Amino acid sequence: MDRLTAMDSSNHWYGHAHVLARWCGLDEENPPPVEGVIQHGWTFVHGFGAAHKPPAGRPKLAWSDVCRRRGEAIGWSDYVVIGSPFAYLEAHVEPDPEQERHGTIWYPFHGTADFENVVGDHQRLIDEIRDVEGDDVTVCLYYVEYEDPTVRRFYEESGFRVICHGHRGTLWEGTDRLFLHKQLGEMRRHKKVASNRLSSAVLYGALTGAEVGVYGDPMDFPAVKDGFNGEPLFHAWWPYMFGETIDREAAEALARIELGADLLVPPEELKHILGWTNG
Amino acid sequence: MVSIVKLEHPENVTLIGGASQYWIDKPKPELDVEWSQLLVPQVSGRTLVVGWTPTTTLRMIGEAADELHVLVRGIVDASEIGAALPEAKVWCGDPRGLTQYASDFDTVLCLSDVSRVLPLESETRTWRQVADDVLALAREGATTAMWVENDLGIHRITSTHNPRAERSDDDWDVMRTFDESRPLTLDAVNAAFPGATAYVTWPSHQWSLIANAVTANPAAHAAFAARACVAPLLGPDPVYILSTAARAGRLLEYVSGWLVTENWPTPLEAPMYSSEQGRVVEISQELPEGTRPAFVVFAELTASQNMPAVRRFVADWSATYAEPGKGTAALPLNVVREEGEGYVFTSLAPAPEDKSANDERWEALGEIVGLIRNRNWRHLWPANYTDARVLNHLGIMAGIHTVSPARASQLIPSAPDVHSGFSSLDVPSLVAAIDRNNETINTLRSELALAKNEITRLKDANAGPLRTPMKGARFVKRQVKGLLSR
Repeated sequence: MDRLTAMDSSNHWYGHAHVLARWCGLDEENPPPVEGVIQHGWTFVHGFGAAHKPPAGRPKLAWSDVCRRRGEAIGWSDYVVIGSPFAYLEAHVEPDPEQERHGTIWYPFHGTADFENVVGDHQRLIDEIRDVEGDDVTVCLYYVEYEDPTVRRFYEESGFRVICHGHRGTLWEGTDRLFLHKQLGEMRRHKKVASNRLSSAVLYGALTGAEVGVYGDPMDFPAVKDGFNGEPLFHAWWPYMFGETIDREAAEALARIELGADLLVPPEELKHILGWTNG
Repeated sequence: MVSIVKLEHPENVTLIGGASQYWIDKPKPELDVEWSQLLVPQVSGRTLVVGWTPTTTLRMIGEAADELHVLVRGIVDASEIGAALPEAKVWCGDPRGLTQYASDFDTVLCLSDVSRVLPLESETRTWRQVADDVLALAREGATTAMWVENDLGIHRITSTHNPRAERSDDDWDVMRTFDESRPLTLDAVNAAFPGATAYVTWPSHQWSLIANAVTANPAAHAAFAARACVAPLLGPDPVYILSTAARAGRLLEYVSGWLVTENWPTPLEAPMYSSEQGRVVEISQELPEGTRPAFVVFAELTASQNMPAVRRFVADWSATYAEPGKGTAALPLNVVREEGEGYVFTSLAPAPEDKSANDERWEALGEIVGLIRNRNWRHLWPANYTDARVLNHLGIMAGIHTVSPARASQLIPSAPDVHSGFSSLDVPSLVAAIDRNNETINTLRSELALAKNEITRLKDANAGPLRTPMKGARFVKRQVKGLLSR
């Protein structure tokens, strides 16, 4: 049966299903429908967003075991911990040995296309970035901010290189399936990855072996749902993850846990888990 | 409960004082436990077997003895044994009553606890008194064996039946609840029978494992005890308790009972003996400290949802048994210890000769899936996974890939509906059965949701079999029927 319509559309966000299809040796341009819901971003809760209610009885494909434990603590079940798609890509795509890292790639914390905007003083943030990193800076904007001329202009006029990894995609439309490929490539080109909040990008950077920094005005996130703003907890849990320079090994160790980098499932088994084989 | 029975019996059955019209000791159902291989070398001369004993065992003992006498308390049991063994002399009643007819036996075997010997027609006597009544039937220096039930054994403390509250035959006996003379520890048993040798037994009054508490290797003893005590249905989990008890060095406290022997011409030399499908196997493995039953470790890894560790466990196990000659791959007959990141397996029994390594590994995986699912142990698979899919996931981890759903259903044993001294239809078991059914319902619900979405998509596209309402209805009917028939 063609299960395309049965798949949760968030499985395609950032090309996650595509990356996993590549790992499994399948057509990465047209990944088969995934049975279950893949966690689509790093989170300090149960693996899923405030508005995302994974269906009962279907696999919740979480990145890390701690997400499973948090989910089970609130009565959810059916977790299968598979690790993050970015970790699969990082393990699968060899780095270019000729490439030398330089400069900093900076990820201003982003809002979402669906619900939440980030509100703050971008110019003040730019000044702080320049003070710490100098001029060799690439600012990577999320497509929501990248397509907002007001926000984008701040960064372009700063003289920094400004890029965007592409669209997340919505309801299987507009997904840039190479989103993570571009992100991995950029992170491997830069010496340092930084942001004003602890986020997926910071952990991705740490996983690639880059130096990391988390500093600057975290800005406001006024529409965030109750219980889904982790800033106060992050400072309590991982105080060492905040600052202009952070212990690289400690950051990488945390990234490996949070991104499930040591939990990657071998291809034949992952195909079975994702419902890409019979039986 | 037993109904009133006709007072008819074969000619070789003699009713004596205490014969009970309303009692049957034969277990329901009778399990395949056969100890004659071990008992026959001990038997000689005039031999008395006290208490209900399987007729296969009695027949073998009868062939080795000059005369076989059997004493049971219920007329139904006596009649059945008398009919099955015409050469035997079967007595029905109180052991004290037998002294008027026969005594001074050369061999006396009482393989049931004496609480199953005293008839309800007799006045109440203590455990000690009845034990002495039985042993008084032996001549001086006779070969004797008497099994003593541990009232705090694993079978008792995990049972949800309350013998003080229940009124079924299995839960009531004439002395159990008020007897103070019963020994409750191995030391007390040794003190109660000076000069005798006591072995420990597992798992219940139909014990299938005998061990020497002194010579049995602790790790091997723990492994075989856990295997013997896997209850066929749910309830308080004996394996969990025994596993923890073994780690605490307290395994011996939970034995089901003690087999007390005296003057055996062929003493039990091996540290352990296990009854395996009609034959007795000697077990003398010496295992390093820290070795644990493989199926227990597997159950713990899946319960903690540690998929990478389960993968390493299954891969190492599969690699060990990829070639023949390493013993059986069955996880309940394997022990394991962790070495670095890996697992090292030791088989406790030879492999069946008629199976390929591949078939044996599949059967072992099917067995472990059945073990976990039938007991509703926590595991790492989502609710929509069928048992076959769980099996295939393990097959992939093992590097032996997958099997068809039909083959999977052959490999995975279904939940047994018999009990062997452990609880059967108790409340936790029923709740667990409901949980299992809920998982199945969730699976079907998921599949139906998928089918529903597909129908909606086809309907929206106005294509395929849904062009007309009748075709649509037939399509839905086929889909639902197909799902329900899985």
